[in-house]
Amino acid sequence: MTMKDTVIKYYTLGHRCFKVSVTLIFFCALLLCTACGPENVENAIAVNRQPSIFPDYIDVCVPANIAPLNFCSTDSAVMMTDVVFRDESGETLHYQTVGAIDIPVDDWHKLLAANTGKDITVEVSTRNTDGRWHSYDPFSIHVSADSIDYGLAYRLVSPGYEKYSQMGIYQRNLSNFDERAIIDNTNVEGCVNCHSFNRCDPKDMSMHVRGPHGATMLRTDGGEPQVYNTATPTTSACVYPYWHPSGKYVAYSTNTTMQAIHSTPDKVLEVFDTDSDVHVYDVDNNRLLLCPTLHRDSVMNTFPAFSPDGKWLYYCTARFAGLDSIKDIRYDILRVAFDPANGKVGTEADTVVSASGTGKSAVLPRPSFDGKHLVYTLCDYGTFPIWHHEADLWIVDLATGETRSMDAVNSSDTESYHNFSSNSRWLVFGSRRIDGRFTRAYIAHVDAQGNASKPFLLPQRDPKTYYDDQYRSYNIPEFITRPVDIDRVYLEELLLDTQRINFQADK
Amino acid sequence: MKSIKAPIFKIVLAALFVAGAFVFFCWPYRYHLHFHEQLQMFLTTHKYFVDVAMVPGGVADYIGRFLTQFFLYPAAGAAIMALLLWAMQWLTWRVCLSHTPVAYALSFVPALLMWLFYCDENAMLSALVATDIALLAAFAIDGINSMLVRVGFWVIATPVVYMVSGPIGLVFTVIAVINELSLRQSKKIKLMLCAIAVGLIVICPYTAHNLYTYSLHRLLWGVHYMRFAAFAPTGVWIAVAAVVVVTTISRFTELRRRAIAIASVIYALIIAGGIAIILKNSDFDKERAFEFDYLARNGRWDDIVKAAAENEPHDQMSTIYKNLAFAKTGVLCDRISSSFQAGSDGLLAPFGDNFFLPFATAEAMYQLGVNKAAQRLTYEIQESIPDRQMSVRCAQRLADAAIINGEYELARKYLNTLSNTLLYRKWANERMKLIGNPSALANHRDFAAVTVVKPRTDYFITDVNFDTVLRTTLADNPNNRMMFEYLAAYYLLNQDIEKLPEIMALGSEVKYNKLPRDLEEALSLVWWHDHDSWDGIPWAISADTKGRFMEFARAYFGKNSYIPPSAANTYWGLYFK
Repeated sequence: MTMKDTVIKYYTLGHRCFKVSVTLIFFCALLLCTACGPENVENAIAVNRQPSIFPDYIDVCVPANIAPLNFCSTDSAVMMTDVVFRDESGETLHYQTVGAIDIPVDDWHKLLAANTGKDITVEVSTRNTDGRWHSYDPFSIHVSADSIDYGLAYRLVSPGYEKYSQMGIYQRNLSNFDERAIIDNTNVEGCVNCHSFNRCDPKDMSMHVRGPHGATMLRTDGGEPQVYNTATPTTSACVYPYWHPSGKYVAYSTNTTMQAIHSTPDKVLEVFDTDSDVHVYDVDNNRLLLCPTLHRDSVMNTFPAFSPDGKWLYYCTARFAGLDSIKDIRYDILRVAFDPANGKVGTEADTVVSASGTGKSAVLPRPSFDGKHLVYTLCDYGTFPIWHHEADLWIVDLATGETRSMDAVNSSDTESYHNFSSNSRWLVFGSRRIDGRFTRAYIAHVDAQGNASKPFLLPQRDPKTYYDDQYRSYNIPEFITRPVDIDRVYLEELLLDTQRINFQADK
Repeated sequence: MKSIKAPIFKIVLAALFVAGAFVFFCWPYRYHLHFHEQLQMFLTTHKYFVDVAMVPGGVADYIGRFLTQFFLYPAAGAAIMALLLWAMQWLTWRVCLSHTPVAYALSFVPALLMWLFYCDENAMLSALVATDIALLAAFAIDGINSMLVRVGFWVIATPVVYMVSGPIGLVFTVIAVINELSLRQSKKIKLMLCAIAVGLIVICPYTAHNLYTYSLHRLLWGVHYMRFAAFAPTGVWIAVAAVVVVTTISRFTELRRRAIAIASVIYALIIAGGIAIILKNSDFDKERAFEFDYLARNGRWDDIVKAAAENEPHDQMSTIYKNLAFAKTGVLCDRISSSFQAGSDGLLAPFGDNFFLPFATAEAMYQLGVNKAAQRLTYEIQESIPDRQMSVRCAQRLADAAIINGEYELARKYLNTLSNTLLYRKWANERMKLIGNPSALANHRDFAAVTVVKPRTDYFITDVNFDTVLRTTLADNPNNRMMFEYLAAYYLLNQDIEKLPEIMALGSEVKYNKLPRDLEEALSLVWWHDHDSWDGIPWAISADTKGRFMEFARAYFGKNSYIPPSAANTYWGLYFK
């Protein structure tokens, strides 16, 4: 018998054993499934507090079309978790599991759809290492009557200093757990960033790629994407974008940005501008309109945002105090009139938020699309609050000018980049409250008066495992009203090609 | 003919091959294995398997990564390399069209070429695993007697093997079709089989291109065979091509006359050629840098000093580690001029194109207690690893840095991930006990030295202000000898000695029985620049140094800048060179 014959003989024998084993395992599993239903939660010890769960979904407000809020107990003594979702009519969803509960998407949506505008009570019991069941005070999840947009678009990027590895801009369906890359840097070497949509609609989209294949991708009215070189002989490459509601203009800032790390443990990193201006790009005529009001020596203007009626342009402004005085750079939020007929900005600016006078810096203004409010980030100083532990979200009532902290959404750690859903009833923002380093996307309901509910962490199928293993931050989370349908392969080919359309600067 | 076909002869040859590969990877190339091991983190989680395995070549990559984690132990790593290379040789032999003595000799050629490929530190183990899997599939199909079943099997198996092994898997199809063509078939059938094979070979990568975000180029060359995506793994394809060539030409090696003599000549050529080529392509200087890196990672400072004394390294990375070891053993400013130096970049190097070199600067910063700089550099290294894998070494350092900074949730995140490894689980669990326990931290052998430095002044750390980093930290910790010597060495190596009096004042709390030799020599120079006698010198310069300086000064300043041989290993010699 040759060695080959021997191998074949044992291979055949092994294969038969394998088949028999698989069959046995299948029948054993079937037997176990039929024999072992959920355990009865009997003689439970009443624990007079609400359960410790991750993510913290206790008393949150959610839209009816959100993905299942799977969660797990954070108590290390817990061996098994029993969860009952009960609505006012007595309908229930019941799950018992070792790790995180995994609620079927359809069952969840049926429950939420039947309870729009009402509360769902969640009863949690755990069987602990002592072998006993423990029942916690129930909590509620309020199902809002306000719907939420189709999904989120965000960049997943390591919160690095200068180097970057795998990164990409992704879209996530908020009704389930589907995530898909719009583009990543697997094939197109470089940094993809600053994705922007017109009032959450991806038919108008802007996005930058830095590096050897650097370009700005612009797409208008759902057409094919085109790639541009946004640097002109008189201006550097465009950075922070914001679409005019007409889709005819995009406001961009141009920034000279530096970064350095702090030496003390309590602070991490400082990203700061030494120069920045705001310009308006006329999409139809490929003209970068230089705005004298927003382009002044020794004054830095950045983070432009149009009002929803398109008649105002909000932006942040500060004086550059020198490299030795980075901690003295504080921004105010101003607005200037904008004429959509010709793309001209006014000459007089109004102060919307005066933060520098109080020793703070107000950045990232984002008006709600109903025109009633504006949310911004307030931090001690500077332009890049994501690295500031003290950064919080604040809201301005645009009718009265009153500004206040959004206490319901803020935590002891960083809250930063934020934007509204297309109906202005939901606010998505980044927060580092979990570990102080990796930004996660949170969503909060905001009512017509600007009052926010407790935010909830972007749901995942197995949230603990997902977020534990996720070493990339959710950067610039933006609502999208529909999937971004750009052909990735086509876009990559465009970017890998050297051809670019040059922005033409207005003289 | 009989003797050479005897199994014992084959076993002896195979054993020699395995022993050779084992010795090579266990001795001169042992640190090469450490280099690989630290740049990945094999996790035992389901998610890790899905993330790694569900791409073309992903299963081979997963197996490769699984095996690479054992490179932590050089003997285990060398045994894995030797056995995988031997498996390649044996499978090549088994899929040969004809099993002659000459074919057996030739079957070593692809394995030797693959061995050569692994002299490159960026060659990933997945390539060898993929080759073995492809050959195993080709071997398995050989046992099927029915032509129809056999063809059906390789048609179905081709995409599977492609998914498991990546493009190397397609060698299975090539060998299978060559095998079919060698049989007595009609031309029509042969043409049809060729068409099917070509179709499968083209369809697999093109289909994958539409399903995955990888470029067609990478799907054709292999996604995970090299650490750098930009470089085609030419070496591995040469080895794979050799498999096809050897299996094909083996049918023409059925020599009836002088077979033993020819086979013996081939063996001699392969052994001599193999050894010569492998040694020629081995980069032992790089291996030496890896050795210093390994010793530093394990805190074996005395061994570094000893290794440097035995064979002075001349590369930047080893020099950084050598100087760090000098500092850790308290002799840095005694050894500046008497050992090879690479300027201040040989103390602390800015982050450049080489992703691995910053490990040395990060280690130096960490040992100096400048934890934030070490954390930042480690983060940059993690982001710069070309194949974008998480590095177990980076994760360990980032966890430690977070513990020192009091970023406990961040530390917990890294430690939770490390606890999902096989070989670092215990380490992670031990570290977990230090979270939120400053007294345990201060008494821990790994942290005691690095936590004594307390950063009090907030300033910005960049890649170009190392002297500011050292100065400010010394000002905050004026009794820190290592910091003082690093700052002194920085100025000594930059020949910026006029700053020495200032740092002597800054480090006034650092106590010496006798000032370090290089410092004494440099201070003598500084003093005599403005004075004409030793009177009033504020530093305790020894009588010996004073005497030697006067001797040097007479020679250098009196005879047209002549540096006497006695000044060869002095700071004056370095300064005036």
